[in-house]
Amino acid sequence: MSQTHLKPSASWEESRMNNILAPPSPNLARKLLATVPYRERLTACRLMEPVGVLQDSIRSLREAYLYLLPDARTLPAVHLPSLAEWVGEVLGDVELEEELQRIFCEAKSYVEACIHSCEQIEARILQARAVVGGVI
Amino acid sequence: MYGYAGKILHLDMSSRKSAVILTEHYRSWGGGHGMGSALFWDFCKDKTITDGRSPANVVCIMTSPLCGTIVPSAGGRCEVVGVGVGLHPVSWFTRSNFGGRFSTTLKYAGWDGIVVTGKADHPLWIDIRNDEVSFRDARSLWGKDTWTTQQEIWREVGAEQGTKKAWREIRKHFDEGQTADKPAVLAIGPAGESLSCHGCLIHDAGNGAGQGGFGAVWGAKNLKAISVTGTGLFSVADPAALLQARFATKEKYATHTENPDLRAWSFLAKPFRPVLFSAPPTKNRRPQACQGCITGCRARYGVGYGNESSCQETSWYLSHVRRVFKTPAEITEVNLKAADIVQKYGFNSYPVMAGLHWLEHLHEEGILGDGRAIPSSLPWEELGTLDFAEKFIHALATRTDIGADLADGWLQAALKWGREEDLRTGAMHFPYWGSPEHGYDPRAELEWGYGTIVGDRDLNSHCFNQIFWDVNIHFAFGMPMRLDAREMVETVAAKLSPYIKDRPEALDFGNANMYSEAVAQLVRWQLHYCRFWKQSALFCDLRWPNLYNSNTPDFSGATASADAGEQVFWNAVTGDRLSFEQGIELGRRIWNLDNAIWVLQGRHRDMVRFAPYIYENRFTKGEILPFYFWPCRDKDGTWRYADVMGRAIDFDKFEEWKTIFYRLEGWDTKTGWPLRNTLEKMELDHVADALEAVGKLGGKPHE
Ligand code: SF4
Repeated sequence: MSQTHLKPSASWEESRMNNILAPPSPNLARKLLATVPYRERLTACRLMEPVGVLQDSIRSLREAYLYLLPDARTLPAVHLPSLAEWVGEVLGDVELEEELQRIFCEAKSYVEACIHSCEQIEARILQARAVVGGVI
Repeated sequence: MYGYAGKILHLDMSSRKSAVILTEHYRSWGGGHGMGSALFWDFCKDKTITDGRSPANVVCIMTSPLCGTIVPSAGGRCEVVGVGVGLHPVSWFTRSNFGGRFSTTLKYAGWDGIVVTGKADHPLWIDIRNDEVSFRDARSLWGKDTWTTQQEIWREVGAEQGTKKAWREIRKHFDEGQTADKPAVLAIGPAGESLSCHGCLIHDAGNGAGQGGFGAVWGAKNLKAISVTGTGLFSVADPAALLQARFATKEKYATHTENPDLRAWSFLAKPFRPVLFSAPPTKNRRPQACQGCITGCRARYGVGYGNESSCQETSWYLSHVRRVFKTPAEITEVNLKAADIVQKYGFNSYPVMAGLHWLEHLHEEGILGDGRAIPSSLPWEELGTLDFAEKFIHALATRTDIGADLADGWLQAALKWGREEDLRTGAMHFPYWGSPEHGYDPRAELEWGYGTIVGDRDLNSHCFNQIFWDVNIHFAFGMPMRLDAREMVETVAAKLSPYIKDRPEALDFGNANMYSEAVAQLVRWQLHYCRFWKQSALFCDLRWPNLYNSNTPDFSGATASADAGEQVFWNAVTGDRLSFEQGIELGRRIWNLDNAIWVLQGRHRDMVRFAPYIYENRFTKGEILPFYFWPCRDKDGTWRYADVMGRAIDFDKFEEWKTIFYRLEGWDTKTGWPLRNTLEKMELDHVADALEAVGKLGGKPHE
């Protein structure tokens, strides 16, 4: 997968400026930086043509960020509406859930949605870290 | 006989005697799998065995006329057949395949294949130097890993490290031949020695015959390794035609090397890059390939690890490594060193990829671990580290810790542990024959799932699977499709002679068509194509068939073409006048012989069933994949790429599909056993007689 495909569009940069979320409460921030129990993990996989499908799972917002981070060799295969739902239901961040749903609906392609979701999640982690400390 | 060495080597481990079988007696089977099945039929005296570790088992290691030639991505493969180990409920007569230089060296030594029977009373290795064959004591090699074993054999045979040393006479007389090559060695490691189903065969650093449990088959025969040195020749019927077809492949069907179309829709030949999941560890590397390959898929690295590993070995541990290590360099290093571990243990990592997720699930649920219902002292909290990988593979390879229960098969262990429910919930992704899913769920990619369940093991044939990759990657990036759905199915269907030529509906995997006669024909085409062209002629699965190709103006692939089709290469080498369709018919004959063996082993159509979760649970989005686009027709007949997730296999409808499939194959629809008429038309009267003698010949077709 060529890196040139992985650049976000200009319209995304504009829309992102308008979508900075309110800082999370300390309680929510701690949840956003924690690892969820195994049962509550989100199934995902990675694709590499033509090698195959690598089964995996996501257990924290940080893992979701790392998962979606553009990679020159493989493609993350995450059902993005399920990721948004997981963020709302398991992590309890309804605001981020709505934002991820919006990204999914507005993105021109799956890969663009992955990149934008990754950036939004990164921003949210930094917000959480600013509230309670910790490193990404 | 052009293309053949002319002899097959019979090794009787019990008596430590070797004998010559003339290849011409088996010439009608082509080579590879076909010859192997026919040899198994003749040499295996008890075809009711259901575990490959039985001394009655016969294992054949077979080349093809194309081995040792320049036929693109076909010259260096090797097929292994025999009764396997670790499948469920029966370890069927099955197959495996590996690459490198073993098959070519075997041909240069004067042998088209090797048949191994019996069981030695202590470990042996076989030393083949052209016609000279000796059984050597392997007691000092037993317990050693596959790499050390090969190095010790090289030393023993007199090969020096590197290629700077003088040419070595392999026999006393100069005119018997000289070589600078190290012997090509195929060996087992500790996993095979312990008779674990994970045992596989390893050649050089990373060529492995993984699926089938053939390492355990060798271990049970006390066969540690086979070493071959060859200096001979064999003749090609029409060298000019062979060169011409190879040039046609390069000029017409391969991606241009200087101005490459990196998103070409063709797997036949793209610019070289090693096929591994993590990034290569260094730029200081050189390509590595099976002999004669048009695009190698592996590499050797200056850092000294990860050599020749690709695909499966580089993915079994990666998702766990990524959880522990953060930098790409660390991830690559640990991942490739984990690949080296399985290569050295002679360990088939394929079931572990899905299986380790299941074990992790059991651990996290509090079921598996120290003092728990399933006791295990492995450091599960360290999953993802190199230390855990080493300890885990060691346990499974040596039958220690949970390795004792897993040695006979993953489903066998699940049943022993009382975990049947995991096959209902899908926590255990093992849909067929106790074997894990390949990533291509049977509820979505029908030809893979159906082809596996009517066969013997995970299909691992990417004939049509290339559609999944090209379409879904382009969808993910929002790129325009190189072929729209209608163009795709019409281009592919033009190649599907003789069963479904120009019947594109065979590729429609939509709900309304998924149990149709057309899909049954597609599955038959794939099975018969593979049995001959891929598994007997030994065209590589990663490159062939080439059904569509965006490098050509009309998108038509090389398969069956008049300038570079499979039959063109076959005929140039052998001097035959075989048509592409006759190759498929030969594949049907081989497939029928295999089915007869399965029937003798106890197969009945009622056993041909998926794990319960395939029928009971829908393949939901987010269960592994977010989408699965495939060509389908709308209600009005318009073709489009549609998402085929969100469905289960309907049990009754699939039973009806099996009936259609059996009828098309000419098998009894009530039992799945072959009809005499079907076998006799393929000159398999003796097979019909054998089945009739034990009351397993099919009756009249059930209408
Ligand atoms: S593509 Fe890889 S496995 Fe296939 S023949 Fe070439 S080197 Fe061997």
